[in-house]
Amino acid sequence: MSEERLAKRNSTDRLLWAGFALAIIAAVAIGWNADKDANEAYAWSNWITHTQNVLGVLEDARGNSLAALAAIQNYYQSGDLRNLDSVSNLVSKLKLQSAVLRSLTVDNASQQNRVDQFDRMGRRMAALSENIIRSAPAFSQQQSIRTPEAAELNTAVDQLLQQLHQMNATEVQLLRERTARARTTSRQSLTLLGIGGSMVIAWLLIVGGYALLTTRRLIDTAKALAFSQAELARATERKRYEDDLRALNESERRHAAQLEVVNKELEAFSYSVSHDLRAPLRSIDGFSSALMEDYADRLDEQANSYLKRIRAATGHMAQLIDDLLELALVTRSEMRTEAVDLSALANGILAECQKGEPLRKVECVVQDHLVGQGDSHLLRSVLENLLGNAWKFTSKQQQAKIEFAAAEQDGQTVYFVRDNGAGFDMRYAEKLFGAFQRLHAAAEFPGTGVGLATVQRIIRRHGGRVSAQGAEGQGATFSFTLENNHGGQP
Amino acid sequence: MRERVILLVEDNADDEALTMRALKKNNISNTIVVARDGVEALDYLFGTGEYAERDTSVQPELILLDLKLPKVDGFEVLKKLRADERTKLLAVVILTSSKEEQDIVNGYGLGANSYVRKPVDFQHFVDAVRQLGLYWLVLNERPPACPRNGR
Repeated sequence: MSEERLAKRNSTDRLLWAGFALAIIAAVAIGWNADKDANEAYAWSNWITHTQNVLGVLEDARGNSLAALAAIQNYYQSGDLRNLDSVSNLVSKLKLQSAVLRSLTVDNASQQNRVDQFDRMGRRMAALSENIIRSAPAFSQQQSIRTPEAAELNTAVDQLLQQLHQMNATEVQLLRERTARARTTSRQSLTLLGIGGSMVIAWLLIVGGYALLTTRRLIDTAKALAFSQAELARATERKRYEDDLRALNESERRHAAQLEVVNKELEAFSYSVSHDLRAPLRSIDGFSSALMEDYADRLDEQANSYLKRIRAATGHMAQLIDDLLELALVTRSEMRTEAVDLSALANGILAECQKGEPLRKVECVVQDHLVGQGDSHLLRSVLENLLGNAWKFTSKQQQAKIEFAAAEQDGQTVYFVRDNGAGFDMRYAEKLFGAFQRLHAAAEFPGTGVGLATVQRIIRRHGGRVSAQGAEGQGATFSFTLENNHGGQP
Repeated sequence: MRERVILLVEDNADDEALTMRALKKNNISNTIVVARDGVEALDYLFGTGEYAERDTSVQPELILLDLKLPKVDGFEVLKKLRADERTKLLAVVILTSSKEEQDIVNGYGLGANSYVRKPVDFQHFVDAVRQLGLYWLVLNERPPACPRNGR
């Protein structure tokens, strides 16, 4: 992965973690805020209950005050002092309620003031009603009803009611305010919770989505990476294969070039051999011959014999050169593969041999219709060498026999030339096919030792194998295969 | 009577001596002119160099041409004499040690009349020269455009 992409991924990771942290912080903050709001709402609801309690006490006080007022009115109408007794009772009740109110509105200075006045009114009512009862004769209606104290009492009750009314109004106002505050707080809390919750959910969605996306992208990246790695491996493999192939082609090309150079050198060499090595031989032979002819009268028998040996050696050397050239030609000449009638070739070669030595009696057995795929010129050379050898090495045999035939072995046609001649020691079988390798003395059987090397080269060029089997004094069998007999047409 | 010349183009002194001997043994009595390299052969044929005084209307009856020669080789000599009106119809026998297929093909390609490989065995060589003489000097009818000896 590139540096750039790595850096980008790191920053994205940081963003992701920051998002998580923010969501958690938001959740905590919202929770804390909601808790605070809930506490506040709870407090406000307490205050509302408190106000309602105050209002309840005020209502009771108002009721008592109205009862006191009614008792005073009754007293006015009836002059019955018992009404004033009930006023006293009511006043003591009111005193109690006043104490309750004082304690309830201890937080409210204006209400406390009113409670003070309320108290004062109450005390005055109590004092007035006691004064009336004390001073007024029992059941003297006309007199007592119009006392100034009674009127004052009435006024006090009115004032008390007024105070109560104000306190009530204040408390009602308070109740309204507190209810509103409580509702606002709750609504705020709810809104905050809603917003916070939504925010957290949104964050979670975003973060979750992003995480999912990132994971998927990561998986894709991993897959792509795995794929590209496999691709890379394949590409590497292919590259190496191509490189190998190129190297192989290159080395093959180099080999071909080298081979061409070697062939050129060989050509130049064989040209030299055929041209330059033969020239001195011609001189040796020519002048030896001149000596023998021109100086015959002055040369004794010994001298003549030496000159003969010189000329024989020269001839052998010339043959060696020709055989070597043939061997070289076998390797570098172009091959033309065609169907070659080996039976006809063999018959022709044996007839030539017979013509060369008409007095020899050799039983020649050639299997009919043997056709091999190969170069006719080269295959002729093979048969010439093998049959020529057979002819040569059976020369000391009373009843010589030479056979050319073929047999199927492992689905392959194996051709063989068999004779009942001098044979050879199997220990040296491998040496037979080396150039200049001879297993017999030249005096015994003439030859240059190049023939079988030539045979082997030709057979190898045809993709076949050649082998020899024999025993000393019991003949030899030379077998060979041609690749094209095995693999069908070339 | 004009001489019937055989031009022997041969750089090897031994081969020259042996060829002379073989010719003599076969009673071929023609004048033998020896050129020891390609330049000398061309000088003789075209009357240049040391043969500047020579009458080029008289050309050899037979040219025995070796291939491997100093300065100018046998093929070059053959090419030049076949390209010249005065010499293009002369009988040329390549007489060489080589039996390279390429040399034979080239030789005939450039217009050689015959290609003979010198045998190592001197008796064979004498026999070859005898047959060459018999064929080219006696049996073979020369082209009419070429001035015949003794005319």
